[in-house]
Amino acid sequence: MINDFILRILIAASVLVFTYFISKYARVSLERAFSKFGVEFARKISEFVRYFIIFLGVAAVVSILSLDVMAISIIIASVAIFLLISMRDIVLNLAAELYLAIRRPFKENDWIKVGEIEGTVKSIGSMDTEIITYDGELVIVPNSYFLRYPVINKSQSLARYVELKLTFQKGNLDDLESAINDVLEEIKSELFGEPELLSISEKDNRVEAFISLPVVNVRKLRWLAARIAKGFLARGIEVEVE
Amino acid sequence: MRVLLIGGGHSAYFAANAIKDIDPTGKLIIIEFTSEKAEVLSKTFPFAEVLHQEIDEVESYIKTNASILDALIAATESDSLNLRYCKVGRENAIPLIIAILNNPLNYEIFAKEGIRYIINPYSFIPVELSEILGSATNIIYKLPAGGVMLASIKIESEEHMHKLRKELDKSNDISMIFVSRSGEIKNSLSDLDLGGRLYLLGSEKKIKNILKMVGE
Repeated sequence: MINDFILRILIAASVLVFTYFISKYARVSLERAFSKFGVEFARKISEFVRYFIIFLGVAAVVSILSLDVMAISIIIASVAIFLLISMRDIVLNLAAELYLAIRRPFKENDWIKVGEIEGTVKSIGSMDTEIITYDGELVIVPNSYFLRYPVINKSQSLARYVELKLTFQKGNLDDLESAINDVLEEIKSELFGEPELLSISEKDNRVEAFISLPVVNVRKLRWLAARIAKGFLARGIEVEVE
Repeated sequence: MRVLLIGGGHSAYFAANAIKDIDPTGKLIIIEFTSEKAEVLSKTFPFAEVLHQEIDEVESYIKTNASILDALIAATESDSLNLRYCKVGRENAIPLIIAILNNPLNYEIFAKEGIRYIINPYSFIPVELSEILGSATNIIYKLPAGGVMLASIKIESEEHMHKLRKELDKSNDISMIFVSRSGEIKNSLSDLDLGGRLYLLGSEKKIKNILKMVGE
């Protein structure tokens, strides 16, 4: 009986030692394999696998020592389920981090649209991503958001064509068209190419015009809109820019 | 386009001229640290707005103007300063951040900091030497955006030529020209001859695959 117990302890000790070395080896190998996805990410994945191996090893040791495996398993499973439910968002964010690291749908400084949010990616963290909208607001987006909504990466080309609507009080169409072209010429140095007057028409006692601006930094739009309004004001024309 | 160019040395000189050619109507702002140099720059580049600022004032200029700047080019004569300004630009979400290296060995440091466009002015030294000295394979150019690569391969043996023909017959998305030993430029695979050079232009992945297949 005592010999049998000593034998079990020896086997359990061997399993523990084996588990320790295997977990260490797995951590080093995985860290190396995943390093191309970022050092921090590789460290997290390898740590997770390491603890999982240790958990399996401990479960095996408990089984070898003939302790009540079922009771221990139920407790561990309950704790795991409780943690999973209570930390659902954190787990989702970690899953999203995995997705972002492997799929790489965008990089820092890319201009993206995801759900209702559109802007420049400032930084990509393990839990959230910082996006600066064109209003200059910093939006912190939990990474799980990227699993729920499709990501549109608009950084494939340098310039983005933005349409603005200009509304004038009633006036002569030819004069307004000429004023629009003059104002567009004034802001041309801030653009990445030629601005364009898309259309101009009379509507409900007002004149509406649509212009297209090729811009690199979309956050500049508000400033450009102010400059456009100022340009018209200098010509004695009132305008609403949207 | 509104471009901020930091520095007044050789790199900045070439950058300023290039920007003028690329975007003649654009707005170029040059920041230089010494007043004498700033004065010379404003005469050399009358199309640009030249500002004389202290080293530590530049960061605050970048932060204040980040929402209207389209590009930041760090071209000072110190890589640590360039990195510092690029980081501030990146943190303030300027869409285009470009660093011009002084020491090519610092490339990795910039890349690790997430600077996407890093210009290494020395990168053509090994390329040109390889062409002049007739190296077997030479990656001539790798575009910073788009993953396009231009490679030149010296045809050294019949077996090599056969392998290349076989691989290129299968790839219809690679452009090529062949320069024979006598210097004639041809564009047909059947014209390949020993001692000549084959120039391949295509995606980095495809070109690397071909080089691997033919044992380069």
